[in-house]
Amino acid sequence: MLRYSAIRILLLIPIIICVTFIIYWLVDMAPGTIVDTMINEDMTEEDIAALYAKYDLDKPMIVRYGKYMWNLLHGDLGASQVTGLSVWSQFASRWPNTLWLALFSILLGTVVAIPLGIFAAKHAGSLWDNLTTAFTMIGISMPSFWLGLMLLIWFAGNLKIFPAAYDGTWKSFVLPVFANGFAMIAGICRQTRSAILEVSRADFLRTARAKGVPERQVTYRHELGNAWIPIITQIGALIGITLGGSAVIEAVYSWPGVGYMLVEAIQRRDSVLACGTVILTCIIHAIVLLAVDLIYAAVDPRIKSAYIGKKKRRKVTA
Amino acid sequence: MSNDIENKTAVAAAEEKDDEVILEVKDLVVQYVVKKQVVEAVNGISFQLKKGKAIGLVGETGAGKTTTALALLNLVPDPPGIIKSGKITVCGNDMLSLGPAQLEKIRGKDISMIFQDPMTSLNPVMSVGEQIAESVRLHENVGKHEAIQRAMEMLELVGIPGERAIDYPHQFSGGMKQRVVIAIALACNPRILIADEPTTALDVTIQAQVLSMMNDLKVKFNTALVMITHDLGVVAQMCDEVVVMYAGSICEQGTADEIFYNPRHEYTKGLMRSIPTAANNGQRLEPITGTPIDLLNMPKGCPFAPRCENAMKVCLTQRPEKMIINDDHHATCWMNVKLGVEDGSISLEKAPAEGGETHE
Amino acid sequence: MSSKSKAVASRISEQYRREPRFVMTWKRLRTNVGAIIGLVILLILILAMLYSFIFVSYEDITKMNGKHKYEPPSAEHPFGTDEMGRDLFKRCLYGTRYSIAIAFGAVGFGLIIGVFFGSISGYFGGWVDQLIMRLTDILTSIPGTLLGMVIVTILGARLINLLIAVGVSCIGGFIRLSRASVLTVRSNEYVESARAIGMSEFRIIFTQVLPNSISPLIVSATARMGTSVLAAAGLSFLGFGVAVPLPEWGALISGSRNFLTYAPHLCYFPGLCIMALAFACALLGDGLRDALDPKLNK
Repeated sequence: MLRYSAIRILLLIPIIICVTFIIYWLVDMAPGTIVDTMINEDMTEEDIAALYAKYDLDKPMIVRYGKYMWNLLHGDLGASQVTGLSVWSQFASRWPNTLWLALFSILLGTVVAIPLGIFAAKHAGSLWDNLTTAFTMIGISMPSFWLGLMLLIWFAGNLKIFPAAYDGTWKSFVLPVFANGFAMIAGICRQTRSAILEVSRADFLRTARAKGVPERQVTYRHELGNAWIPIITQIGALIGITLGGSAVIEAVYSWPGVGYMLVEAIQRRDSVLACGTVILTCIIHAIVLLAVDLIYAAVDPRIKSAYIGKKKRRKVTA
Repeated sequence: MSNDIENKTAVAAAEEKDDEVILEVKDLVVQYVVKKQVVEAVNGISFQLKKGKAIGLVGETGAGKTTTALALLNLVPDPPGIIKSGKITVCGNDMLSLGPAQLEKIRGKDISMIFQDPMTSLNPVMSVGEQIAESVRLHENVGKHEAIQRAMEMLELVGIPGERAIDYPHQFSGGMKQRVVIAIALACNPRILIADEPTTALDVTIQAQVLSMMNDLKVKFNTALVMITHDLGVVAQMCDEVVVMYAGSICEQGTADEIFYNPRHEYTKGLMRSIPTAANNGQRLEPITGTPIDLLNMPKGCPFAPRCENAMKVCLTQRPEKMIINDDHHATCWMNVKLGVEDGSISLEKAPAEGGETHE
Repeated sequence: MSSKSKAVASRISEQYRREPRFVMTWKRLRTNVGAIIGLVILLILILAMLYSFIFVSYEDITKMNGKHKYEPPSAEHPFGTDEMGRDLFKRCLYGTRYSIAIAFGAVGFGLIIGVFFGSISGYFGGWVDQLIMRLTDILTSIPGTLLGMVIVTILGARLINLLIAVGVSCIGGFIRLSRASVLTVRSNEYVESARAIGMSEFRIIFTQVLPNSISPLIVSATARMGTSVLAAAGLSFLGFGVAVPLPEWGALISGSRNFLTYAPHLCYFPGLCIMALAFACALLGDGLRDALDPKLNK
């Protein structure tokens, strides 16, 4: 297992290199360079050429990318062109806000959705199941930012129960977590329901019942134990979407996270900050996807032994 | 636990009287309702089983054997199945009137079941040790460590090294999985063990091993056995009594000797002719022609009549009742009336009104 | 023969009669209440779009009216009016074209590219497969919203660029899906026999393999239409989409943010429009999944 994790982490490196390259290349293609913003009429041709040279713009993109990555490894992503602060420190100060928002929403989604999905599957075809299905369909088709704005209107504007923007208290978390988590409840609930239904016909449940396992334990230990893979896939995908798409909900609540920072950076044409933010977010996203893969192996011994099996079999034959 | 002590004294008491009836089925009717059509998968069967004895349920696919077995545990899948009527008594407990909590105490402890397909009967994400220990922990007041210890002992008992308890089902071969299934069923020394075609999914060589192992265990723990199979050889080897089922009903029932040497139902006779024995050595085997009856379209008369070589008119029009052959043997076949009339033991007045037509 | 067995026999022969697949699918779909609701909503939205092409002009949606600012919904203005007195209903009607274009265009774009590479990857295997799949891994490890923001920033805030941005994020999923179905189909005997009679590889892909692996693609594409609408609306909301003053729904919501307290209807109605379209696609996708895969029918 350790060996497998190590291999997977090593395999992540080429992916991260390619992703960062693509992003760097795309940003590099964007019209306008840093130098363009600095040029003024007093400058001579030489001054401009010197500026280009200073930012390596006279060299091929690949060289600049290499330098960028080298600096990235040393925790240096350059400095914002607007504020002059280092990208690394700005990202680091904003990142926890995005992370907490994502974690709380996913927690809300999981805690509500799994029991709800199991309930729906257990009563498949009933009125309650249909109501749950209707609810989840609405949940997955509701834009989170729209729900976020409506919550703002009702709970921050009209009722004034919760603050409209981040103020550091737990209260300011309630609305964004709910706006973000609502679609997650719906998505995870759908997946749980279908995964449980899929498992519910398995023979081993009969074995469990025949040995006197109480129905509750049959459901939570045997059925859910075998339904985790699709549910975890869904949760992992949603964490990825939340972290990568945090900009939307953060924009609604003026949330001081990395997504909102990125939007602001792009609006201000702060390409160094934008590029750094996108690259760091992509790296985190790739790590989340890897973590999900590793969790698969933890919940399903068949997947696990597909990796460590070879080693063991060799031992037996020896 | 006082409960445990009570149980133990009950077991002790039971050991004194050896012919105690520990399983009794009376007029069991199980229906499946599919798309508003009702199928009687099991139609009024009765039998009883004494301590330490083995009974064989024999019949083709779809005869209602597995449904009967599940009914014994009150585990008929609902929907679509419902136990319509009848009475099932397991060690003095009325299985059909107990609540879920009480049933859970009986299942696995007093009566347990070995399932047909070892490939799908084990939970793929739990180690086999956990699956055996789960049963032990549910029924006996032991700690986690002790339960695992017991699980390892059970594995040794069925011929698997105890240290393999940490392995998962996919790491075992088919025969070994079946042994694990057996170990799960035996984990709490049940007094009744139902074995639903325990060897069907296995290679022939493994079959013999598993059967002899089951026989040893049965003798060792004095477990009563309900053996479900379509293999008459297995029945001959293991069972004291045989119930032959056809289309959800019992067509013949008796001691193994009676059934094998004195079959009194045309279906049983057909079954005997279709298996190779020392007696028919060298002769061509005669299969039973036709296919099992469609339970949706049960005929008015004997359900076997459409496939029966010796069917008479009455067979097609009237369903035969249970006919007593002797104390240990009964069958539901009009042939017995015909034979009785022919040898004079039944006079025509005794036979049902339409019975006379048999002589045409 | 009894009437019941006759019924069974006729049902079996019905299955063997060569009925076009879409007719069979439609017959099954017709019995699914959710799918029909989805289809009806989708049709209404498409009709609304066609209506807006003919009867709603650009002047209608940009015409300012200082006397009727922030009016709540009324008979004259069913969705009310906005901060410049423009009729929100007409603006929403006009906006259907963008969202429907995204729903079909972005998914179509992703589908074409995804199926092309996915089927090549699944059919040929070997290093081609390895290369395409590793590139897919890279593509899918970039979060869709981020990629969309970057693409729109570079290419400019226009409908076609938003469409590409959303479409690109669908590609990875379609590559994986079509590769998997091609792998399943490829090993079937009829593909073997097509090869035996000397069909060219590309012809086999397009005449034998793809038609038989299309069901999961249809289901996934329909469901993807819904999520694409949401993704595009999100990008527009952030300002990476159709440029103002064009009334894209997400942009309309974004525009309503300054007036939430006294004109919440400016937020409600465009959101309902987005939700209706996404809801219709999700319902239809679920219905198609059930109709195309008889195994799942209970």
